[in-house]
Amino acid sequence: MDAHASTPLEHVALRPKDHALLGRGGFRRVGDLVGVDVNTAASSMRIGPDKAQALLEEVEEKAKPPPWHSARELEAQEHQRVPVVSFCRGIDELLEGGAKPGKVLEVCGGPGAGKTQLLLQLCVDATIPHQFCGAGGSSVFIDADGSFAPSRCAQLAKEVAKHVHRLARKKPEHQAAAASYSEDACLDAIHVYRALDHGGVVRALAQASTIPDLKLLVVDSVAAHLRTFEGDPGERIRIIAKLALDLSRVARRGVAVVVSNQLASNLTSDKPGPALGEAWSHACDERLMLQRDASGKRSATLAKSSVRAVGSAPFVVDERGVRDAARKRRGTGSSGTAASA
Amino acid sequence: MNGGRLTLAPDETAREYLRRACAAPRSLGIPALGEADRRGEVVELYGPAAAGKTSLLLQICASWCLPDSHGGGCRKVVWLDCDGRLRPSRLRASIYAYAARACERGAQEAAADALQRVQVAYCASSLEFLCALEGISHLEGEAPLILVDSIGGFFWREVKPAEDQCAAPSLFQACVRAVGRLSSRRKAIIVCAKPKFFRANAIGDHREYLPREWTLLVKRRLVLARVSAERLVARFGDPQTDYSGSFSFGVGADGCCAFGDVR
Repeated sequence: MDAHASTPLEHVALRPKDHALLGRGGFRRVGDLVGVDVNTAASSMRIGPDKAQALLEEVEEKAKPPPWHSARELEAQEHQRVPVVSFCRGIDELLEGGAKPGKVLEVCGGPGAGKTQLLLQLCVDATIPHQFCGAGGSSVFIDADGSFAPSRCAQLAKEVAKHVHRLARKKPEHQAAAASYSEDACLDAIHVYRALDHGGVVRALAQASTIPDLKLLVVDSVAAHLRTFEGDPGERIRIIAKLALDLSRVARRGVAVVVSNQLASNLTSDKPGPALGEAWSHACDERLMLQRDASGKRSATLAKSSVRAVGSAPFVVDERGVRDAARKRRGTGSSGTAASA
Repeated sequence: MNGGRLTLAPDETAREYLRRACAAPRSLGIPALGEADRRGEVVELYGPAAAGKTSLLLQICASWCLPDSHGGGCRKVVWLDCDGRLRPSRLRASIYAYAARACERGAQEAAADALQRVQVAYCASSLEFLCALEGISHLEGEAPLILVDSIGGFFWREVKPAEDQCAAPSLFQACVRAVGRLSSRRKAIIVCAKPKFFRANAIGDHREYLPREWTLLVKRRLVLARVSAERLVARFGDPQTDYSGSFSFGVGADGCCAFGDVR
């Protein structure tokens, strides 16, 4: 008997009446349905052949065992994925290239730290064509706290398009790719969903799989609707765990997932920490903490990473977007223009 | 079922088979836990985020899948990734670092060879996790080392089971029973990472949230905590009695290092 064929049918997520039909037909395990004739199954369950066929297909789909891969195969797949850069070399070095496909990156910080600006920059950068070392796809921005600014997004898209055309002048072989990339093409590849409650975030994540060539998914912010949750603490953990599962499911399709989180007071420490507590801390692969000091200088600190030690990088937010602090344009202040988070 | 009996692997010579069959049972590769035979044990690694749970799982994996020449047991490992966060490049880096510490020469080749002995399944739901466990129980030959990262999330994702006795058994309970069968009948060693969800009274305290069936299965628990940016500590012991042992270690890009006593 096949390995997973011994799985009881009662553990497969079906409607109660479908469970009753399978029980009536004498089917107890997944293996009982393997190779069974549709007409035989239909007559034992006392239903029509079409309904029996649909039920068998549903069980086969839902009771599929996870595929096995060797670690070597997975490593080869990982090397083929292109990270989404942030246009700030310091932040990209902290993240070893940028927001990585298949992983969940959390960007955490107080008000005005630059979280939304960084997320907007990543959304725009995900559309840069492959020929210019970009991810070359589309991005999704799930706006949970109403922070998405279309004009700012257009401003960043314009800068990225200018950057691509500048690169194309040095690489004539990629002129065709650059010619088809413009501010409008960039904005067309960014899909925005305004989530008015947590259910909206969940629905948006479910629909993200329908976006063609999705390379980046951004949620701003995960804490927006969950911090006001007033139910049982166990129920809150259940909701957070389900959200983490939904995000990791999107990431497993080769999408870079970046979520922003707010800071909350910490009962065990003087410093505020990421909101949503211990249950959420396990959900992200990497955590980037953004700070802005009294003089307006911004910095990003890698607070959690599985591949490198913690580190820090300064950055600025100006009219071009998120950039390295060291590469200041003439005529701007040390922290750029007053683009707020 | 074959229980713990070894069988000849494909393309394996008689000399290699005898060497493997006569080899001492593998320890977990963590110095402080010693060389005791852990067959049939369920070991839990408990701690908050960034406490070193996955790093220790990688250390244990490397100690099992590397060949004898590089300090390993040349045995199969099964990694059940329930959180979708296993990074293959990190796995290779940890295995290579372990091999290089044992013997620098040929470490790259040994690591590449070891990766072939690691099988990974991504489990997105309790049902996939259960199917994967059932699949392992039907494997021929010696039961592999089973690493689960992590066990806690599925419990919270499952719809709250009904209280009345007529309801279908909880899927998570079925998974726990499958783990129990693997440990008792196949003598498999199962090491599970369990995230800490509730704030405890002191650093290193354990607060159980999984059903009692799981608590009774666990024979050894390591409670992990981060004490500084470079050091982590682990208290370990029998969960039914006390946590009498402890050790400290560091975690870097190449995995765990600098195992030592707690100062």
